[in-house]
Amino acid sequence: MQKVSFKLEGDPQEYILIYDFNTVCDVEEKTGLNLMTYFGRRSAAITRAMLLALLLPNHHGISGGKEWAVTLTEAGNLLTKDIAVVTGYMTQAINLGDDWILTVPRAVADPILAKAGGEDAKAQEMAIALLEAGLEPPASAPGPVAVPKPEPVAVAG
Amino acid sequence: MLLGARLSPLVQLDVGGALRPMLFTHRRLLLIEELTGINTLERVDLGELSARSIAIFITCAIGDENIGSRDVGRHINIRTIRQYRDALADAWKASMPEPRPARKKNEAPSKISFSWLKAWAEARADLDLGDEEWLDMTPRQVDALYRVRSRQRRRENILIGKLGAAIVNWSGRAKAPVTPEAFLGMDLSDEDQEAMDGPLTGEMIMAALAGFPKSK
Repeated sequence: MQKVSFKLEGDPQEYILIYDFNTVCDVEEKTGLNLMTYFGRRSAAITRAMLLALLLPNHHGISGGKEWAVTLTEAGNLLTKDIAVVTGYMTQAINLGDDWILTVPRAVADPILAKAGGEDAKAQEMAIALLEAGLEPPASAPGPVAVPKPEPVAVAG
Repeated sequence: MLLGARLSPLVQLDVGGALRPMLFTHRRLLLIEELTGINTLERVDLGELSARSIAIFITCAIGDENIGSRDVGRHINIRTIRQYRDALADAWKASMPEPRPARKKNEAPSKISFSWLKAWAEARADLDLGDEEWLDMTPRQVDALYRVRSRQRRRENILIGKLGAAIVNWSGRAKAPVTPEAFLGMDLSDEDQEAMDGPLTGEMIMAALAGFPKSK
């Protein structure tokens, strides 16, 4: 699994986001929310729960003999600090190394997909290959993001 | 291997490099309902399922006790989610009854609610299926049996109508000839019409009467 790590201005804590489907399922069970709706019209509650799911794989452990894990409230606090930056990293974490062509704005993606022969998986792979090979100008389309290797993180419980 | 898997279009999903057949039997649908709270007898919108429900639906459709929903979840990411959802939709389609003909314009949708209890009771009473037999069948298989049973019943009804009309017409008391349709409270399909136009033989009558309960 690939990771996205980031720090926010004025906050020494390093946050690491990992998209793990099972953790998403666990957070759904805990919150009663359907996190698949994150990929459509997302609400604040869905965004916060998805952030919790992305943080949990790395931000949990045992401290002083007690188990701890990042909480929904802490995820909400992080969003409060800088929602635009945090949700940007969330998008990266969810799509990193994956089918990110699906997240490319249609105006950019459609001509490439059309050239590749449609929208099926094979065409998408070809479109991604075209973009990665620099054969198509990516314009403002987000591509795979170079992420610094994360350092071990200690998070207060 | 389940008989339903042989009788349904084959749907396989690559889970961790191994192809797994997928099918929804009544047993698996009941388990899904227990785990997710989703009423699988109602129309299920597969596009609206949560991540957890997707993992549970797929795990139950695979039906391998060595594969849990977390094993399935480990292989799902943004790149594979579409493949998993497609396989889920294909398996669902392969397990569910063929769609009925489109309703006539202005015809109200059926208000008949279908509970698991009713589904089980009807399968036992009408189709004489045992519990285990029914649990291991897909709704598509049971529907196929219902269709055959329904056709048999219509043929029996037509036969009774023809017999009734023959008795009245040969009694010498009918003021005008009576048609078999007068005894039937149903619209005739093309297939029914074929049966209606066919001959009425003694063997047919005996076969139809053989279905009636016998006195002890």
